[in-house]
Amino acid sequence: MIILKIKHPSWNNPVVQKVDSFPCSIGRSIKNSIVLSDDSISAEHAIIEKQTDGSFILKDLDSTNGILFEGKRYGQIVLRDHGHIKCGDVEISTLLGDERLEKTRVIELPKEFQTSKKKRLKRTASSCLAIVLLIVLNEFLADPLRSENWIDILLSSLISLLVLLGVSGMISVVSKVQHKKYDFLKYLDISMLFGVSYFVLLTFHDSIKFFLNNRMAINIFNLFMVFIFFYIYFSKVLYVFFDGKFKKKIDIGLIGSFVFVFAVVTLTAKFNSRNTRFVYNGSYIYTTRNFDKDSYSQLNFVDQLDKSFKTVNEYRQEKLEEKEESKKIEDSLDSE
Amino acid sequence: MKYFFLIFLYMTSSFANVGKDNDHLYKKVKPFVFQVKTSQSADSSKASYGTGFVVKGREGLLLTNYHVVSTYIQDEDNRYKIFVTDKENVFEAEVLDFSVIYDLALIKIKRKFSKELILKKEKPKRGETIYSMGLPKDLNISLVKGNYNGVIKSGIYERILMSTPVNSGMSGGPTVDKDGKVIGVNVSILLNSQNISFSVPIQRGRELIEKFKSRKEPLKRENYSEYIKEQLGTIEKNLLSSLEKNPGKSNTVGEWEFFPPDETLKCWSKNDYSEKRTFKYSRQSCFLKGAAHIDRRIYAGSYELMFLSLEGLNRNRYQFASIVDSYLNGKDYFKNVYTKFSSKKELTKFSCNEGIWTNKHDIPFKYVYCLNGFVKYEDVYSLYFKAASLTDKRKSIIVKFKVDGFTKDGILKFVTDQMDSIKRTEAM
Repeated sequence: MIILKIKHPSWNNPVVQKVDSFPCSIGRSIKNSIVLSDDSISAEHAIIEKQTDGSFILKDLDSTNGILFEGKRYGQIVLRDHGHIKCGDVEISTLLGDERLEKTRVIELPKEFQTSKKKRLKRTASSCLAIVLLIVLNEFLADPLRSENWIDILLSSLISLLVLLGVSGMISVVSKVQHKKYDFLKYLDISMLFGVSYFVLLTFHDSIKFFLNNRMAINIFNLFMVFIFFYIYFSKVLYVFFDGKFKKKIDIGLIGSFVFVFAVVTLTAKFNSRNTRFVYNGSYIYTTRNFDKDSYSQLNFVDQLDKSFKTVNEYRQEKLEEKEESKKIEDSLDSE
Repeated sequence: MKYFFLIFLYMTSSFANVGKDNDHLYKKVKPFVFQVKTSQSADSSKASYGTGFVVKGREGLLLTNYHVVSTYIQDEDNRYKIFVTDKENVFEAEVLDFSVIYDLALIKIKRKFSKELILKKEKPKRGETIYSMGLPKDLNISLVKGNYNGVIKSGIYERILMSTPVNSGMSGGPTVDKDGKVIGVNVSILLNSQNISFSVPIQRGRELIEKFKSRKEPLKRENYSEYIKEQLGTIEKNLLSSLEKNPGKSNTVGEWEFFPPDETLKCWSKNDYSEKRTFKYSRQSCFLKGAAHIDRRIYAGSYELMFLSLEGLNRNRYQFASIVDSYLNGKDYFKNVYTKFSSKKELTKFSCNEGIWTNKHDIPFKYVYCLNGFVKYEDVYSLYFKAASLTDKRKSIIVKFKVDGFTKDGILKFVTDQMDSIKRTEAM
């Protein structure tokens, strides 16, 4: 058995191919055992044969570009371990399969890595617990705890944990494409930390004083999380598609996530615009939580209403102008 | 069960027909009842339709509902015309006068009549048999029978309560007594009810005719908006003056006292205190029975109030705050706001704001309001206002007002009066 490491100059990563049965033909047409669809390869380019003594040879089948070893063209080449040959433009490295590769190999990892994995697991578990506790606390602040509520709590904690698992799963699947490694625990750890901080903010945002409006703080935090998530996701996904296509190195993930988050923000801002929708998101009662007159606009009701009357009159003018314009357009259409 | 119900209905209706034959009444009234429709031309399909009846034969004057011809009046591009038809003939009509307060319109056609329907001067007795005539659902002129149940007054609005099964399309038709004298003009029914219908007292129709006679010339089309605005002003003036003259009796919800603005106002209360609940809830919602119909979807000259008292029983302050929060921000009360989104042409965008207001009795309120205006009429607005009291840890009053079609000063006066009237009951 031999292992071929096939690499084309335009490819990013080499393709590793095991060859078990012989003879094994190489060429551009699909009849071959190994099909290399490149212009420099002939339809039937070469063939690997096993000799009676156990060694392997690569024979040229009268191909246009031939097979090269150290830059020279040969009719046939004896394959060696860690040898480099060329078929047309395609580079092929050969590893001769002896028992070494079949054996289980123990790779010694640095000690720090192992402990950090353990640590990571511990942290994930504790953040799981923290999330559940925060949900219970959140529920308690809204409603007295009764037997009916426990089902709610159970469900909501289950759902939120599942969401976090899903998110980290999605990222790790993408990472598998790129790094050949799932790294699921790493991403789970990150998303769990996000989850904890999110629930902390959700629970205590009414009691903590932010330099901004509370609602604003939550929005910004949300945005930040979305941005980070899409950054990780895009930087992995877009890399697969776009790598090597640009001359300069550009962080496609960063651009992609910026564009995406910008689109989301502008769209939601459009639909959430205060004046077209009556749902009043930002209105929290300050009966028991920060009842602070100073944090409120100092205008009294009458002045505020006065201002509103003015803005409504402006809206009215806008509408009237719109009407006139549409009338003009209609008239011009009629005259035509 | 279903079959039984069907049979039962059939039986009663057949009994109802057995009594007296009304064919003479039908013959007497029918020649003066016509279909009134608004459409782009005489043959094209109708934009809206209703009924009208002759009140001055020699001049060719017909009385109908304002809402039957509102498509024409509100139409700015002069696309629609009004037509009066019987089965054979079609006449174009012009609007002479109208009243959005009483939902009446006076129209004129070129045909002359030798006779007309007589408008009754004296009030009918309660329980008297009355009949409504009209073209229900664009079918045929129909006569339906019911009883007169008195006049309902609410603010400036006035309606005869009757029990005739009126259907859409009969709006604007006459309500007559057994001699064929007109006592009212069919106007509306109560939805989700059994045969509760309303008509406008004919006295108001007579007033409209007199008003037109005194002015002599018909209203001009370009003055319609101004005329409607003027009438809205009358409504507002009337409502606000009744606010001063006969303020409602003090009313309570929970431990709070308030004064509804008018004694004719109908208030409904709802109390909820079951053992499973962790908070106590009592509510009073008051509304004016009647509003001025302006356009298909827009009503003005009306208001609604809601007072809701909440008391946390075994809730801590955080839990109580969350319940007050959900009641204040609940969307249920503002359902009708969403219907208004569909009429973007007639109404402006909302301008919303929030803040804190301490009223005359030193009770701080957190308030939220949204204001929008009418595009056609200057200085006519609608306000949606909600507020929750803040001082107590376990007790709160939530108020919600909806004021439609008032001027700036009217809105300010209404809201400040109402907010300042709220106080704790003295027992506390």
